[in-house]
Amino acid sequence: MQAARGPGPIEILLVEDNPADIRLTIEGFKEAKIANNLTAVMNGQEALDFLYKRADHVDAVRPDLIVLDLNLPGLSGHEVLKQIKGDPDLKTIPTVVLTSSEAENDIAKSYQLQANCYIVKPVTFEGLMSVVKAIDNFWFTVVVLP
Amino acid sequence: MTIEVAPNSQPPVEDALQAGRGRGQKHRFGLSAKISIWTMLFGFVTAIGVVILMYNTSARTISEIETLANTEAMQRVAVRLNATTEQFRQDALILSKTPPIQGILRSISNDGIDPFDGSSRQLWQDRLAQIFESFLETRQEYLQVRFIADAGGGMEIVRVEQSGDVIRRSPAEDLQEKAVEPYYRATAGLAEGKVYLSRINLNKEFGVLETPYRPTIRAATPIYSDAGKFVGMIVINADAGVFFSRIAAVLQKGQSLLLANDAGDYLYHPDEGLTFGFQRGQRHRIQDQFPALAGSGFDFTGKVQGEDGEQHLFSQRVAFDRDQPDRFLTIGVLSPVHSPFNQIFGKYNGLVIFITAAWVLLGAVFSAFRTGHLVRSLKELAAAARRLGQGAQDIDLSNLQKRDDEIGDLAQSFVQMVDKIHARETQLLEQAEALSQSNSGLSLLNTQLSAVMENALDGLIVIDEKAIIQSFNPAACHMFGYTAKEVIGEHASLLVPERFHTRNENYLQELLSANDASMFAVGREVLARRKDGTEFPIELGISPMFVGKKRMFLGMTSDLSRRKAIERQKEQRFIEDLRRSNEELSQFAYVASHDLQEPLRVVGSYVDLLARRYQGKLDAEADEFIAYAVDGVTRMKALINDILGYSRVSHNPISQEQVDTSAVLARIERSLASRIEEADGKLEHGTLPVVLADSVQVERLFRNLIDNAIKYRSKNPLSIHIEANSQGDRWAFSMRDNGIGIDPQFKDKVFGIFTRLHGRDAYAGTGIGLASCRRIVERHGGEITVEQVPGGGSIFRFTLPKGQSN
Repeated sequence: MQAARGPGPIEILLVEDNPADIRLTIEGFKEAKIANNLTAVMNGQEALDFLYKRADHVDAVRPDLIVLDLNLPGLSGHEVLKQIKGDPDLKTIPTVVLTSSEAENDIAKSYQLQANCYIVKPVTFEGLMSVVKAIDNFWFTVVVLP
Repeated sequence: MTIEVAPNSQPPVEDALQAGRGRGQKHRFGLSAKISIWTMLFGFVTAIGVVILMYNTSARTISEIETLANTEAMQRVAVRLNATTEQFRQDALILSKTPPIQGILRSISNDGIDPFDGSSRQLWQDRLAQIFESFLETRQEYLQVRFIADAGGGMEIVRVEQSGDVIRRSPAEDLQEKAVEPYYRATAGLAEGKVYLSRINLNKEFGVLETPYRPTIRAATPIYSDAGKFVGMIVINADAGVFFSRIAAVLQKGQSLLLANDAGDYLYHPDEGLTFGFQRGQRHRIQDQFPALAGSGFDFTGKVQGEDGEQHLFSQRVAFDRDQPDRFLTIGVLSPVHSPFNQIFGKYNGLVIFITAAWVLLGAVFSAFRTGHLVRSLKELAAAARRLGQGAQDIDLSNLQKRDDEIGDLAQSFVQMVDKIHARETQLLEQAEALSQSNSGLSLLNTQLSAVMENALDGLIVIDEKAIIQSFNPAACHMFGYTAKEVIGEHASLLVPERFHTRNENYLQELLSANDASMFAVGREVLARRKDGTEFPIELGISPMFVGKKRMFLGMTSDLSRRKAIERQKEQRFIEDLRRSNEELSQFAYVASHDLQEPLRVVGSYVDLLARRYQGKLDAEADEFIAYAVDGVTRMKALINDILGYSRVSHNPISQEQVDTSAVLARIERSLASRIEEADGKLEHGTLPVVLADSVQVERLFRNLIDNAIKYRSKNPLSIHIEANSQGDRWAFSMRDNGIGIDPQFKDKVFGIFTRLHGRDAYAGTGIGLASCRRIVERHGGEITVEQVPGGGSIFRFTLPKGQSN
C-alpha cells in the first residue's frame, strides 16, 4: 500500500471540448476548496500527447486523475479510454468518465473499458459540487493505487 | 313450372330443303352450264368436220386451178419469147436492106465513088450511121449495130453503140476485123434472108466479162451483091436481160420464170447468182435443181420441193431459132403450192376463223340462254318450294302454270300441293295460336329470367334441397373457374373448401328448417374454392324460392378477393406509413431532447453558480431573477427528461423478460415510501402475476401510475389498490385510487402527450407520464383505459402478456 496522497495538490487532466464545462469544472474544484493543478485539453489526441509527453506536452506531469468526456471531436472518449487502459504504464491512473450521455450503451462500454467511475454531468452547479467532492473522496478513499 | 324449349327442332320440310341445298352445292356445274358445255362441244366437232371436208375439196380444186394457171402462163411465156426473137430477126433483116449498104458496096468497088449518083463512100457510110443511130433510139435494148464488109478480112465499116441514153458512132480507128469470129463464119454461110441468132452469153470486152454482167445475144444476117456474091453482114447486139424481163412480165404474181439454155444452164432465174454459171465458173443447171426434169426430157408438170417448200413446176422445151430447129431453151414456171385457206380467204383468213369461232360461241350462248330459261323455271319451282318451307304464303306460279309443257304440268301439281299445305298450316296455326297465347306470358318471363341469369355480374347459383347444383350462370363460371356443364348435378360442397364442409352442411340444414326470412338474403363473407383449388373470399347471400312445388335456393355470390386485396393493400400501406412516421418522430424526439440537455445543463450550472456566488450580494431583484432562471432551467430539464423517457419508451427495442410485478411494485413502494407517507396513503394489492415484458418499461408504467395517483390525490388519505385477473393469454390489471378523478370527457385526452388537465401551479408535471404509460402498454400489445369511480377517484385498466408463473 502506498500513501494515497502526496504532499502537493492533485494533478488533474481534464479532457473536455466545451470551454464552459472546463471552466465550470475548474470552478467546482475551486469552490470545493480542493488543491489541484488542473490541465484541460480539448481533444483526445492532445490528451494522449499529454500522457505520453510528446508534441506540445513534453513537459507534462503525469496526472493523478483523468477526467474524461466521451463526446470529443476526432478521437472519441472511448478510444482514448481504450488507449489509456491498454497501456500498462497509464492504466494505473484513475479515470473518471464525466459526460452528459445517460445512454446505457455508453455507460456499459465505459465500464467495459475499465473506467474507474462513470458520472453523468449534473444539471446544476450544486450537483457539480457534489460530483467534485465525490471525486475527491473517491480519489482519497475508494481508489487503492497500485 | 318449367318450360322446355328444344332449340334444334325445326320443321322437317326445312331440314329436307337444307339437305337438298347441301347436296346441290357439291355439283361443280349447274344443269344450265352442263347443257351449254355439251352444246358447245357438239358445235365444235361439227364445225371441225365441215372444215376438214371443205379443206379437202378446196385443195383439189385449187390444185387444178393452179395447174391451169401455170399452163396458161407457160403458153404466154412461149408466145412472148417467140415474138421477141422474131422482132430481133426482122430488125436485122430490115437493116440489111437499107440503101446506103448497097451504096457503100458500090463506092468501094468503084474507088470510093458511087457510080450511080456520085456519092462518096464516106457519104454513104455517114448516111448508114445516121440510120443506125435513129434505129437505136427506138430500140433501147440494142447495144450495138454494125455493118461488116466481107472485103478486107471482115472489116467493120459502120458501128454505132448505145450505152444508157448515149448513142455513139465508133470512130474509124476503133473499127476491127471480125472474119475470125464464130458468128461471122456462121452468118457467112447463110442464105439471103436468113438470120443467125447467137447463143446467149455474158458480154466480154477484150476477152474479159463485162461488169455488171450483161447477158448478150446477137442477130446477124448476110448481105449479098446483086451478082449474088456474099459481101458483108448486119450484126445487132441486144441486151438479153431486157428480153428476159419482157418475157417474165407476162407471169402473174407468185409465179416465177426459169430459163435455161440447151445444156440446162440457167440464163434467167429469180436468184440472179445462179445464171450463166458456165461462164462464171460454177455451173447451175435446171436438171440439177429439179432432177425430175432430166427423166422427162425437160417437159414436166408437177410438184417439186424447192427452197421455199413445195412448189408447182411447169417446164417445156421451146424452139429458139426457127432457122436452126435443133436449138432450144427450156422454160420453167414456178409457183407456190397454196393452202386452201390462204387461197380462198387470203388475208381474211384470221377474220374468217374468228367469225367461225364467234358463231360457235354464239350458238353456245344462245343454247345456254335457252337452257337457262328452262332451268330458271325449275329454279323458280325450287325457290317456291323453299319459300314454302320457310313459311311464305304468297307463292305465285301463274307464269309457269301457263306454260304448255312439262314445266307447266309440274307447276300445276306444285300449286295444288301448296294449297293443301296451306290448308293444313292454317289448321296448325289456329291450334298453335291458342297454345301460344297461354304460353306467351310465361315465355316472356322465361326469356327475361334467362337474360338476368346470363348477364348478372354476380354469380348466381341455384341448388335444390339436397344442395345439388341446378343452374350456374356465366358470372359464377368466371368466378369459380368451372363451366356450367361441369358443376350442374354436383353437390354444392364442390365450391367450398373441405374444412368448412361440416359447417356448411349444418348451415344448409338450418336453412332448410328455417321459416324465418331473416335467415336469408344476408350477405355473409365466406371462403369459396375455385376449380384449381385456390380459395377466395366471397359475399354470399342465399334466398329460398319455389320452382313449381320444388323448394330451391338461389345463391348470389360476389367475388371479394379483389376488394379484399385492395383493402389489405391500403391497410398495409397505411400501417407502413404510420410506422415510419412514428419512428421518425420518436427518433427526432430522442435526438432533440438528448442534444437539448447539453446547453441546458450549462445554462443551469452557471445560473446556479451565479446564485451561489452572488446571492445577497446584488439587490433583491437580481436574486428574484436568478430564482426564475433556476426554476425555468429546472422545469426545462424535467420536461426534456420526460420527453426523453417517452421517446425511449417508444423508440428503444423492448425486451421480453419474465417480470414479477409484485417485486416491481415492492421496489416502487420502497422508493416512493416518503411521498406515500407524506400523503398519509397506503398501497394495497392482490396477488400480482409474472408478465412477459420489458422490465424497465413495466417498472416505469407502474411508477408513473402510482406517481400520478400520489400527485392527484384528494384531501382524503390516499388509497391505491392494484389487482390482476387472468384474461386469456394476458393479465388484466386494474389500479384504483381515491384521488380527484378524471372527467370522463377527458378519458382519452388524458393519455395524449403534453396533455395537462390542470394548471401548473396546482399540479406540477409535463403531461408525459400517462402518454408514456399508454405507449408502454401498446407496445406490449395491450390497451390502457381510465374510468371514473363513483364517489371520486379513477380506475386505470391495462393488460400485459402472461409470463410463466412459478
